[in-house]
Amino acid sequence: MDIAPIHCQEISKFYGELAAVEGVSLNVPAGRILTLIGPSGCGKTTVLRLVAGFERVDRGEIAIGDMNVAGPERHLPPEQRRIGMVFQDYAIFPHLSVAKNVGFGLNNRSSKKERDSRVESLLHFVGLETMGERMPHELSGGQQQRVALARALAPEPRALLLDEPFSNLDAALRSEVRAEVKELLQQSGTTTIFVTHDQEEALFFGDLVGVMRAGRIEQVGTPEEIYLQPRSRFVAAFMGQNDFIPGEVSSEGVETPLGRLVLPTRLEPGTMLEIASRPNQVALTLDEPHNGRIVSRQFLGFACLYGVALNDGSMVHSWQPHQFDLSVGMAIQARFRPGRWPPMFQNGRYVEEAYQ
Amino acid sequence: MRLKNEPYPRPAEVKGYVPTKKLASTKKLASTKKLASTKKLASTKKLASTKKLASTKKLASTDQAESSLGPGRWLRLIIGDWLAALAGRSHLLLVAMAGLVAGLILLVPLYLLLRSIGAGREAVATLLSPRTALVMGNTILLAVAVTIGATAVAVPLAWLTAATDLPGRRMWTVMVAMPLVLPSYVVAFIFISMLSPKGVMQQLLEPLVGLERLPSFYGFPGAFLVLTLITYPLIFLTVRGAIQRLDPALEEAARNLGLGPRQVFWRVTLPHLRPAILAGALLVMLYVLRDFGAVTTLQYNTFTRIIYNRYLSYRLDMAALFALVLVIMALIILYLEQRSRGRARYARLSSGCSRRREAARLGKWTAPALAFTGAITTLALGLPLAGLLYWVWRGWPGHQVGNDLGTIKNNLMSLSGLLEPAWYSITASTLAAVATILLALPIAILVVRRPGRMSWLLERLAYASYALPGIVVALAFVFFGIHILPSLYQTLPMMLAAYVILFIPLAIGALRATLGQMSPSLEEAGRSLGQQPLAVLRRITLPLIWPGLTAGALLIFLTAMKELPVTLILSPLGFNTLAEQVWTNIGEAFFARAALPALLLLVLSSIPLAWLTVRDTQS
Repeated sequence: MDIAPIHCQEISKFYGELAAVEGVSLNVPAGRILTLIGPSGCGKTTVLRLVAGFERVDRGEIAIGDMNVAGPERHLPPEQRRIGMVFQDYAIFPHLSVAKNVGFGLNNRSSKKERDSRVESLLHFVGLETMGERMPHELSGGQQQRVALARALAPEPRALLLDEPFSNLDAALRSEVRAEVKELLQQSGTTTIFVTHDQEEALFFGDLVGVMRAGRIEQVGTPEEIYLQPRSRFVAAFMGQNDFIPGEVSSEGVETPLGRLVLPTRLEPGTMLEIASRPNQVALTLDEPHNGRIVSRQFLGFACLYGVALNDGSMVHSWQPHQFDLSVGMAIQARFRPGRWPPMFQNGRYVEEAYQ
Repeated sequence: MRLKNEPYPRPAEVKGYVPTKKLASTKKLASTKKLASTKKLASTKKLASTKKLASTKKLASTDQAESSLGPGRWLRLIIGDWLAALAGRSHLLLVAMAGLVAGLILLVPLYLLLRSIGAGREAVATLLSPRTALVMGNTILLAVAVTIGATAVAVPLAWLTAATDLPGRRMWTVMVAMPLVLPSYVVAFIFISMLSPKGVMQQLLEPLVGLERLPSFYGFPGAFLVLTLITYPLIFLTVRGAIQRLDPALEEAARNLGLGPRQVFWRVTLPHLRPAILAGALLVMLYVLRDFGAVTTLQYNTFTRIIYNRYLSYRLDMAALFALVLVIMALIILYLEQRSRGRARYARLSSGCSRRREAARLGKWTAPALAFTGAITTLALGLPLAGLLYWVWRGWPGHQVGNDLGTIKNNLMSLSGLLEPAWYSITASTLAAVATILLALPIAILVVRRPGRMSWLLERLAYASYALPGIVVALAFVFFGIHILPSLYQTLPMMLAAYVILFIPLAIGALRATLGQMSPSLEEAGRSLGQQPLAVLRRITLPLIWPGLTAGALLIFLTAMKELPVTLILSPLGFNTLAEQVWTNIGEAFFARAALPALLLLVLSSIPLAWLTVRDTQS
């Protein structure tokens, strides 16, 4: 097995005037999973297709291990890249049996016997060892998904690409298949780029997560970094439920509608900031003075989500346990919970100086 | 060192992929056992599905391609190589091939314009003459009357077979759609022989009611009746499809809002069917404008007959002039049809309708409904077939009817004399189907896989060629054959070129649909699994588009078998097809002699049709 890292160096792709991908650099270490996430039309699928070789790069270079597969003067056709791909619609060949689908990429191997044993071990690997003779239309969505994965892994690719592989499954099946596929990916140990528009999925799958916006990478980092230290307001807004409230730097810290954040800052007093607030970071009490009013209550099962209109006009949300039952219209006091400082932004960018 | 373009070296030995060894080894035995047993189970359980499995297996693997070479396989190999050539080279070859077809199509209007302009002053005078006005009036009258007649017949039939509990609905659906495959000149001559003033009907009626002669059947009444009976299936099929796609929830919503059944029909159902009716009606109009066989047989002066007569009297310039007017009329209809189709799509809210509609109960109306359906079927299908068999029987060798020796001799027709025409018909139609499909492929691929302004233009042009009646295409080729390529005049290649122009809209329609259904990611998956474009085409694209491709080819084959004007005018000397045999004998009123080749034509056309139906119902 030779698993290779994927390097994308400043790649760009234009459709006429429109830049679908612009200056994207990504490095996926060998054997790791990178999830690419962003709103639809942000260029994440185009990045995948550039790596796979279905589209030509206009600028930049792509290397798989030490092999340069795409550059301004170079375009290695997809069949020579040894990159497996799982398509959004699975693209299972409807005229071939499951076993033939899995064995499709093996036809130039030396003997039929070897091919058959490889197909068998892969069907076993994805738990479909009894389904080899079935036709694709006789399989459930989740099973088709696993055939697609087995087929992509069969020729021992140096890297694997998955294009929103769960978007065609219904919600119940999705969480089940998701866990299965993650385990299979980890077992196979293949370098993987995984495209999704579901933030939960991105955090669940990725050793690394890349957030894209309008053809560019906003941030690449571990799931924790992306979630807890978003580098831009966009990332904070896209990953998880964030409200944004104003903050003003004072001599003692940052003044916010949720109280003062006491932190050493290098910023000039009077600087205006935007502060991200997550529902789990907002504490509600009935103590005076009240600074807001409950405007909505949503029962979520594990907790209640309250919408709070603050007196300055901004809006935050807060999760509260069932024991603490509030009703719409009640005046309350909302405060940041002590602990991690919330991310702060100036003109949409993360302000590092705020924490110095 | 970075690698150049050669394939990436693969590891020599095949390793088990699974990192944990126990997975690969310990459970192997169990899994193979399981595999074998399920195989057995599947094969005994589902006969149909395994049959299909076997056939798809045969189709798919290239390893087996050489093992047996039926005609279908040869065709597949040829098409495979053709596709591979198209894919292996660049975009440019595709465009060049498509451009060639476009050029071929454009020759026709170019000729018409050149020739009409060449006629100069006389052209203007002819165009403005009362004679032209009369022909145009005739043509429009016939087109409008047939369209109204066909709509009046087809819409009730569509509703009865698709939305009610009419007994035998499935059978009626097939029977009612059948007349579409009958050649118009065959139906025309059968009706003439039956209904002419001293025809079979009169002979039957005379002893009963003493009727001495029936009113004349030639001219408008005959053309109207024959064309209505042949063309109503076009409306029937589109409207029936629309009824089946109609969401029953719409009608239920209307009932829920307080409308009675009759109001629902007029205010909800009918408005939803209007686009389909309109689309079908315009197809009927186009058919009437293009028709040559029926109007010529029935001696009704529409444009096609006049064009043919001018051609016979060597007034090619006048023929071209009339042809130009006809093409312009057809283009207008085609444009309207196109627009109505756009609207038809608009009228549907969701593509899939989740529930089957409940069949309306006919109750006491069952008997009248059956009588209506039965009457139409008898008239459109039963009568022509019965008449055909009657004349075959009359003309059968050894059979003697009447005492006029000349008639008997002329009516005799030996089966062996038909072998050669049958062979010519099959050859020409097969070649036409193959050539048209091969030339349509580049355009279809461009349109589906590389949409853009150019492929849009190509598709429009190919579609517009549907407005070129066979007689007009034939005329243009006569001109170019005589003046530019005399060595090709009245040769098989030239006739095939004319066929290609006539049939390319059919081929592109079929290929476009089948290619469009195939997700491009299937081809990409093949590439990402290490297959060359050529292998991807052979192993994925071709097997998947094969059903649509063969269906399109068969449709062309059927149409080519009964095609008349191009065959008449452009066929090589001595190349007498069945259609020509029928035509010549009709012209001389040797009905018994025309009947046997006509029957053979129908039988030969129905064999591939039957094969296609059987194949599609199996899968």
